[in-house]
Order: sequence, then structure tokens, then C-alpha cells
Amino acid sequence: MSASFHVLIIGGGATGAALAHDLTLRGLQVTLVERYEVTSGTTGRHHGLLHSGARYAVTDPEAARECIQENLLLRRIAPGTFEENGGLFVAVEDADLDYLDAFLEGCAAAGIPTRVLTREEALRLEPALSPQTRLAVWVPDAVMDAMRLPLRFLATARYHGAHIRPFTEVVDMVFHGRDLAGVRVQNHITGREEVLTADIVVNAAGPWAGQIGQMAGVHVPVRPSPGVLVAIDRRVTHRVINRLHPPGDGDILVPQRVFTVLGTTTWLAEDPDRLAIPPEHVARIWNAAAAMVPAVRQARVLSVWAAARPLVDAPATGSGRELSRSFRVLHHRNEGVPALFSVIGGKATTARLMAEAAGEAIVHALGLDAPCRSRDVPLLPHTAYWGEG
Amino acid sequence: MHLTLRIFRYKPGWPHARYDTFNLDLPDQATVLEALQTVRRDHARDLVFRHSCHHASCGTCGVRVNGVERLACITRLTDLGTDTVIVEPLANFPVLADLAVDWRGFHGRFHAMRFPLVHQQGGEQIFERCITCGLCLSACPTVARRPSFFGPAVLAAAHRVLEEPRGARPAVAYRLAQDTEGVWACRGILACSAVCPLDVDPAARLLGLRAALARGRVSPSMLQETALPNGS
Repeated sequence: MSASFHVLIIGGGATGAALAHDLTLRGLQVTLVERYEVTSGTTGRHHGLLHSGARYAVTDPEAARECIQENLLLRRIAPGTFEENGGLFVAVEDADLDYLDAFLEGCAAAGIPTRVLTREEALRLEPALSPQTRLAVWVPDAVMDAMRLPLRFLATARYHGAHIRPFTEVVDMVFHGRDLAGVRVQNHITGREEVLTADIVVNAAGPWAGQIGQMAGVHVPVRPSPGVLVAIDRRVTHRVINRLHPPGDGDILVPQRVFTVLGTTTWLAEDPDRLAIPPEHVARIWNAAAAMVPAVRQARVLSVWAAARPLVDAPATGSGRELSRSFRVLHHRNEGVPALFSVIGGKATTARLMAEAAGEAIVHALGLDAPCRSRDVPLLPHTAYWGEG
Repeated sequence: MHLTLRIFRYKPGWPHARYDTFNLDLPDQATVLEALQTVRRDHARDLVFRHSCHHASCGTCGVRVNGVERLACITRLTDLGTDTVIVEPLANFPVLADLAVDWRGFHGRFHAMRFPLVHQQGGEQIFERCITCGLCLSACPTVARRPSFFGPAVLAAAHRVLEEPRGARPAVAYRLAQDTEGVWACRGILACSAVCPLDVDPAARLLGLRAALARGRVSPSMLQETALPNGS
């Protein structure tokens, strides 16, 4: 086997996992370092929605189209990872009905199949829906296991030769003169420092990408945008329930196993490791969920937690909802660090696509003819990650 | 709330483990997991522990809290009835470092069976209840004195695979169950079901499987691998 380039990926969330998979399929050597356990950052904590894209159909058509394409692709390369029960967008007030036409048009334009259900049809599918339901729209939402889908990417990447190193924290970049040569890491298992060299370093650290960029002296425009999530102790619906209105707080219920995750809210933060949960957010989520599914009020809270979305920073400031949830691949050669890339933004549903785009940029920079193969290669089962260690 | 946390510490090569003590002020609703994250962020950046979903779905944050197996993410400190909290790794596993255990052997058995993630329940798809967290294995006194016993979670999963093969490997599940370290080694103590955070009732599954095997109710045709409906 001829010598090939070595790429070091910083971050073991969905982005890093998908990128390790993409790059190994292109024939590159890959090492992935993650400071704690894989997916323990933002990725593990999301509510598990496999987006149909309908949520963005009106406000962000580009994101909507990406979502539905990846939604269908992931079901093909990773079957058995999703509760494939679809989702509903539910109107529980007359004002919600004003959103219907734009919603249906936006979904059609993005290629998202929809089916409008009468109140009776909706209640037959989901008896727990509010009696105030006016109508509902069926969409191909699904529920993923937030950790176990990335484990499939990691297991497959490792099978193809990637070194996956959890509990290995990057503490500094290593430069030889002006050239980035690799990273210095603290191995939390052994307690020892190591230097890892690479031809290319990729910053896939999610909301921590700005901190990693600072180590290399580059600006990475990511804003940590946390949200609160609430899990309740029962499964109140068969499928995902969304509110039919412009994206807002507390407008989704995601069933998982025998629980339901209610979400979510949004604010902007400086430090993703310091997220204080605003108590009024929990009440807001609770009430918004109960407006769609009154049985929520009989449930007990299982857990309340926060996670920081890695939003791509835009010039205009706002609450965080206005920032695009699409993603960006940055090559830092313009800042004098041609060996460094950053992959920022995105969501769990589109991690594979982000990795494809990053992979393209990396092989182009290396002058390699190595096309993406991740659309067609089925993933190993999640049990392989710890089971074949 | 004010809290004294004593955390088990161990790194490979240490002659013995030690306990580190931390005094913390935390919000009233804080969980054991949030306490550990606070310690790691502010006092001990090399503290090794697992977590991911923060809502009892991933199964990675299992620890012993004041001697009892718990998922750190859903264990509220106020529910412990004391402001001195001892956190230790799961028992009956080798320690990897601090609170993380080496569970490759445990997970290897789920992988050998290809334990599926999703099952069909009526017209609905739903994730398997068992999140392979290992609390039941840690709590099992039989595993403690007979480390080769496969233990509750694996054998309960074997029952699920034999019950609903769908793309898994029922022949492997059958071999695990029938092994001398399989269902026949269970002494019926039921500590497993007492600690399971998802009410899997592994004892009932394990003992039910044993009864089915004893009565010859597991037939060879159940051991054929079947494809998933989409042909995968």
C-alpha cells in the first residue's frame, strides 16, 4: 500500500465521525481525537429528530432540501437506526392555519412529501393530540438514536483503518516554523502528553470550534447557541409531533423508546461548557408541548438538560433562531495556515453531507483524485463500535 | 445546594485506586452527571467518565452512587438523602480509568448476536428498551463471584433476539443462552431487575428463556437468520 496523507480530526461528534468515514473511503489515513467520550458534546444530547426538512421549508429552503435528501440516504446506508414512524405538523389554533399554504408550498419545492390530514384522521393516528386540533400534515420525519448513528460511522471508519482516540484532548497546535505540523494532546487515560503529527488537521469541534481555532491563531465564526430539552417518563405519541407555525420555542415532541423528548429553546452563549438552564425555559417547553398533547401534563420529568448548537455566525445579531443552520467548510490558507480546515454548523441529519463537502475540499487541496463514496457504502452496526474494539 | 463529592480515581499503572474529595455548590435540581461535569471543568480536567444523551437513552453514564447502580444523568442529588456522595465505576468490569470501565467483552456479546436497535410493536417501530448500560451486570452478585457468567443484560437480549430475530443472529443468541455460563448459571437473585432504569426486567426475560429452553420450546427453525424487510 502506497504512503497516503494523514488527516487528524479534532472532535468525535457527528461531524468528526462522518468525516472519518468519508476520508477513509477516499483512501486517506485518519486519526480522530475526542477530548471525552465520543458524542458527549452536542451530538449525543439532541432530541434525535431525523429531519424531513419540513421545519425549514418556509424559512430556509436550502436546509430543507439538504435534510430530505440526507433523510432518505441515511435510511438506505444505515437501516435499523431509526424509529421510522413519520411525523405530524399540527394546527391547534386558527392562527396556525395561516401557515399551511406557505408550509405545503415550501415542502413541495424542497421535495418533501406531505399529506394533509383532517382533524378526525389526525386523532385516529394520534389519539393523544389536543381536541383543539384543526388539522395535521404528515411528513417523513423519523427518530434516530443520537449516539448510535455516529457510532456506526466511527465503527465503519475504524474498520477501514481509522484510529479513533477518545479521552484524548487537544491542548495546543504544533507548528514547525510557520507550518502547522500537528497537535499536542493530553491522554486522559494514561495522564501523558503526546504529539500527533498530520498532513492536514480538521477542526470539527462543534461549538468549541472557536476555541480550537484560537490555538492556531485563526478566527472560526461559530456561535454556541444552546437550547433546553426536557425528557418525560412516558411515550405519549407514536410519532414526532411538531407545531404548524414558524419555527419557535417548544414546538416539538420526539418519542424515543418509552420516553418523550420535548424541545426546545434558543439563546446565545460564550462558553459551551458553562450553560445555566433558564428555569422559565422549562415551563415554556412544557406548556407548548401540552398545547399539542395534553397528556404531557400527567407526566413526570425524567431529565432537563442543555446542549449548545454550533451555529455559523452571520453579521446580523439576533436570538439565535435567525442564524442559518446550514454549514460551512473553511480552509484557513488565507489566514496562513493551509494545513487547517474547520467544518462548522450543521445538524445531525446532515452530518454525512458536511463530511462529503469537507472531504472534497481536503482532497482538492491535496491534489488527489479521490471521489466521495459515503452515499453508497452501508455502515457497520452500532454494536461494532465497542463490540469489536 | 452544598455537596461533598468523593470520586474514585484510577489510571492504568497506579498501584492502587484513591478517592478525591470535592466540595461543590450546585443548583437544587442538579444531577450526579452535572456534578461530575462541574468537577471536570473546574477541578480535575483529567477526570474520565462517560456521558452522551443526558436522558437515559445512550446507556453510557452508568456508575455506582453511594453503592447503588444508577444512570448519572437522571439521578438527582436531592433524591439521595445525603450531601455526601460517593461515585464509583460499575462493578464486575475492569476499570479503564476513573469512572469508565472496559466493557468491550460485554458489548462484544451484543455485537455477536447483532442485537438490533429497533423492533416492531404493532404498526410502530420503537427502539429496544435495553440501552446496554450494564447496571444490571454490576448489581449481579452471581457475576461478582463467577465473572465468566454472561449475566442479565446479554441473556435478556438473547431472549429478545430469539423472540424477534429480524436481521439478528438467533443461532448465536441460542449458543450464548445454552452455554454453561448462560441462563443455567443464574441463581435467581433478581438484583438486576431492581436496578434497571428502563424496566426491562432482565430477570424475567432470562428466567423465561431458561424455562422455554428447558421445555424444548426453542426450535431449530427459530435459529435461522432472517433478513430485514428491506432486504438488508
